[in-house]
Amino acid sequence: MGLNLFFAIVCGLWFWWAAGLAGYSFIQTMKSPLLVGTVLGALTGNLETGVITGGSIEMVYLGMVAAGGNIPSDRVFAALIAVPIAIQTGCTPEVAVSIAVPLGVLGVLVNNVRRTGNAVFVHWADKFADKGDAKGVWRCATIYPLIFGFILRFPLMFVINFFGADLVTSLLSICPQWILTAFNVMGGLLPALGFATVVFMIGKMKFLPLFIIGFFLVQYLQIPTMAAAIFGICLALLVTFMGEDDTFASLRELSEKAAAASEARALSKKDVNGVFLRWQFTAEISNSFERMQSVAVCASFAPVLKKLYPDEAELESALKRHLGFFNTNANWGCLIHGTVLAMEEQRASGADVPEEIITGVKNGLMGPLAGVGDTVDFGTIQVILFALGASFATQGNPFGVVFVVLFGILTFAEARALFGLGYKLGRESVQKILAGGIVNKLIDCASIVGMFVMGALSASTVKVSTPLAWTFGEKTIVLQDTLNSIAPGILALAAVMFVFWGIKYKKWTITKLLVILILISLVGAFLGILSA
Amino acid sequence: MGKITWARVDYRLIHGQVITKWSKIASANQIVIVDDVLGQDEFMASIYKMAAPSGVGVDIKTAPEAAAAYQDGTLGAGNIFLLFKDVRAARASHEAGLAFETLQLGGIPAEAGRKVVFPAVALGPSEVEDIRALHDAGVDIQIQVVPEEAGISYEEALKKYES
Repeated sequence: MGLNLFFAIVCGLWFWWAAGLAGYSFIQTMKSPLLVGTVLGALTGNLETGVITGGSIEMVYLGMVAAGGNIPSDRVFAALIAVPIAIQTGCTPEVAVSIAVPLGVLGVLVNNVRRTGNAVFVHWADKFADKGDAKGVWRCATIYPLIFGFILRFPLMFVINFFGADLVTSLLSICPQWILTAFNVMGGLLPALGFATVVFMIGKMKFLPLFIIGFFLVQYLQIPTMAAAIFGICLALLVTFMGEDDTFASLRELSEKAAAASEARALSKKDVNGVFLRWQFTAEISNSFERMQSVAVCASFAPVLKKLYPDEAELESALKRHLGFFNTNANWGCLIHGTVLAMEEQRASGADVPEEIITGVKNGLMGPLAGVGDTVDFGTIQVILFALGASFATQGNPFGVVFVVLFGILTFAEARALFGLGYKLGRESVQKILAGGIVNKLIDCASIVGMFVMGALSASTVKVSTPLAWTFGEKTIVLQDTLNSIAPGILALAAVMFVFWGIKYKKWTITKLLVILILISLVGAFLGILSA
Repeated sequence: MGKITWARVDYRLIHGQVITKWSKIASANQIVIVDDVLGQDEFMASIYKMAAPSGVGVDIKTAPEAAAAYQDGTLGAGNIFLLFKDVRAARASHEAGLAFETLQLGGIPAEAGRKVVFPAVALGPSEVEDIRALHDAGVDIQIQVVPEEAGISYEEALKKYES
């Protein structure tokens, strides 16, 4: 089997599965360019190329987190095209990144087609609920959208990979030198997008000096990123918790309460775990613009509802009330799932739990928990772990992938714990977790680390310089040397700040910024102003 | 006295897109949720207040309260981010005197009788009537869900609705 056919099949399947969004906690891991690069590199005996290319692409996408299921640019789409090209053509990671990132925008179009098309399954699920058919609802949350996704994704990725490498090889061979220079400039410049989006997302302008400190610590002292992370964490803990006596008191109280609340319940441990695992697996698969995660919610509860409500009519109305509009961060949303499960259990056993209360809890809590959950999971934990992973990877160290996998495991454990708290303590659990601002303190803490690490990484990753030089008689003035004597890496810092300014103050979209950076690279390389 | 830097209609009020993206673009110091029932639910009100990031206050007011506070200059300090659950609440507040200049429609779920005019934004006859009234009153209506993706204009949305 030719290498291109191998990549076509493997990448086609990977794209289908990863973009199919099964297994909520592991979505970001499966979509990680770093994982793609490491696995494809290992499978074809090009571990180092794969790891470096994957890590380089990861950097560009660091801050582009999916809030509300919207992805600004598709990182896995880009990686599944770029890594095989880098392995087969032997081009530099910079060139691979330059080819892949613009293509990532195309991946978003595919995703929008998916979420529009998935609306069909919502209506099918309505019909199954009308008949009290729990299995039918399950199929609408899993098999149908996965088949639809396969048709949408596999052939596209297969074709691109089957012909891609040859096409790129012949294109590169006829490219004039300045275009190759432009690609290298672009590859050095695009990571600015990743760091700027993270700085924007952290959003606390008062922490911005930490970014600058991180940046120049690396520029002047050449400390490794991991060292910057360690300093950052200690600094963050000092700043956030200095003078605090018992920050975690309310969390401790919560876990004690949860441990005490283990009286006999109508549902078995297996039932409860089943709801969690089904929700974890299906949460995003059937996401549609119409009612978002509604089918997944219904499908995750369905078998338990069937057990709780032997009466046909009651089952039907239970299924229908869980098909309403719903969208949240599915890890933190486990608090809602646990709470609702307990409410359904009480309702079925004859307690006075009106339908409106159950729907009210879902509708009221989905927003705030998405806000907190997206910030904690994607805005802080993911960003920091992926950044550290990518910094190992860009130096060719395959150990980086561990951080990416760790993110999946951590958030899975977090989701299970939250689910248990919700089920045992009901909606009070949400109040207790947010009370005292512990979550916000941890976010602040992580924001400080994030700013610091992003600064450090920008220094080692964003590469832009100028070849300009003027000769006056005996004396040659090299512009880059002059810039370095002012402050090393000043152009790289300027690039990150420019992108940040564009996002925050000019409200430029990622696509627009991509076009601007590409144009700067092309023009800069053509005129001989910029070099890699 | 605060300045209204953002006004958005979003069925989920405070959530991921609002917290991680828009509140940062708006440089919000104060989020004011304008809703007639949320304030009565003590539990939910406390959750919304606690779910905001540190440094951002959350206030829940009814439409008349919000308008009156705005007129008195007591709506909040710094940059104020207004959030409405639906277009009706936005219109009611504007007519009561809450003078926002731009209104962003960012999340209106597709229910029976509504038509999806933009991913995650659906309009029905009553929404169209309300945004027409706001538009006639000089409010710039924009439809956009996340900052990374461009939105559509009032005219485009109506065209989509009528097609």
